[in-house]
Amino acid sequence: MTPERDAAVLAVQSRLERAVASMPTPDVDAGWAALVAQLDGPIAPVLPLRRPSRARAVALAVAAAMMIAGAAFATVGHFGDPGVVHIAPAPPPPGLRVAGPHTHPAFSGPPAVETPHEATGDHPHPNDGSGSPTGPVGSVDGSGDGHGGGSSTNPGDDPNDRDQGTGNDGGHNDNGGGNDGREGSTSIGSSKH
Amino acid sequence: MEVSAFQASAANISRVSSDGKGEEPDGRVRDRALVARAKDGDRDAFAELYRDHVAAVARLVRFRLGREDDDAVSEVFLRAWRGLGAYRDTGVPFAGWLYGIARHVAIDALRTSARTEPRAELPDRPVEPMTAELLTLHEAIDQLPTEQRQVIELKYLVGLSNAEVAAAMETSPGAINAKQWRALKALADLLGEES
Repeated sequence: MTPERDAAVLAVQSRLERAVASMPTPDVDAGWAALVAQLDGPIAPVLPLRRPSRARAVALAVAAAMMIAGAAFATVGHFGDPGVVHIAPAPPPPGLRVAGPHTHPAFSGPPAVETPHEATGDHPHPNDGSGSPTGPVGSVDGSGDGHGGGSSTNPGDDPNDRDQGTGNDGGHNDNGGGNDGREGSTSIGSSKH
Repeated sequence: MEVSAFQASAANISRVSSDGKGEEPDGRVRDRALVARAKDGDRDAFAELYRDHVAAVARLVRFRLGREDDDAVSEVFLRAWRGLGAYRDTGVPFAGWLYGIARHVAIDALRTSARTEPRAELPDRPVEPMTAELLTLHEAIDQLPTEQRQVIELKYLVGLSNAEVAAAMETSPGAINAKQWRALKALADLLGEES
C-alpha cells in the first residue's frame, strides 16, 4: 500500500462526509405530525394466503386410495366370488299361491342337497338340538341333529315324524319342541313341564 | 510495511469517520429503553426515537432515491411502529434495524416510481450540484459488493460506529474496518480519485 493510495482513500472518505453533511436536515416536527396521523390509521387486514401443503395432498391421496380400495373390495366380495351363484327365487306354482302380503310355497320336502354332517349326534355343533329354548341340547338317544330345521335327510329319521319344520331330530314327533327323543318318549326338558 | 500502513490507515478512517454519537454506550441504552416503552404503546417514546433517527433515515432515503421523499421517510417509521412487536434486541442497534426497513422502503419506492413515472416523461428539474455529487457517489457505491456497500451506508449515512456496524452485520469491528478500507479503496478506483 502506497501513501498515494492512502491519500486517495482519504479523499474519497472526505468526499463522502461532505456529501452527507450537505444533505438538508428534515423538519422533525412537521414529519412527526404527518406520521402521527398515519399511526392512528387503520391497518389493512392480513389475509393469509393458502399455501399448498404437502401433508394435505398426501392425506387427500391416502383418503382417496382407501375409498377406492374399499369400493373395489366390496364389489369383489359381493359379485366377484365364483363359488356364489345368485339365483332369484322361483315363483310358486299358481295353484299354491295364496293371498296376502306374504306368500310362501307349501312345504315340498327337504332339498336334494346333501349336507356334509351326519346325523349321528357326535358333532360338537353349537346348534345341535332342536333349537327350542326349553328343550334339552342334543337328543337323548344321540341321534338328533337339528341343522336348520327340516333340511336333514338322515337315515335315522322316523318316517312318522311330523315335525313342523324344525328339523328331523330323530324318531320323534314333537311339533318343533325340545323333545328330540323317539316318539312317545319323554325328554328331559319336557319332563320338567 | 504493508500491514502497518493498512493498520494506520484503518485507524485513521475510524477516527475521522466516527461522529462520536454512536460510540457512546448511552445512546444504545437510551434506544433500548425507548424501544421497550414504545413496544408497550408509548407514543412519546416512539416520538423520541423518531427525533433521534429521522435525520439518518432521511439521508439514507435521499441517497438511495436520489431525491427527497418525505413520504418514504414516514413509511419507514410507520413500518417500524407496526413492526415493533416483532423487534428483538439481539445486540443489533435500533438504527441498524431502521436501516433494514429503509432499504426495503427505498426499493419499493423505486419500483413504484418505475411503474408510474417513466423516465422518458420525467419533467425537467433543476439538478443541484450536491444532487449530482450524490448521484455520482450512489452509482459508484452501487457497484460495490453487498457487504462493502452496507458498511459504507451504515457508517456514513446512518452514522453508526464501527462497533455498531459490526453488531448490525454480526461480525467483528476489525472485520468492519477491513471492509471499510477495501470499500473506500474500490470507490477511489471507481471515482478516479487521485491523490
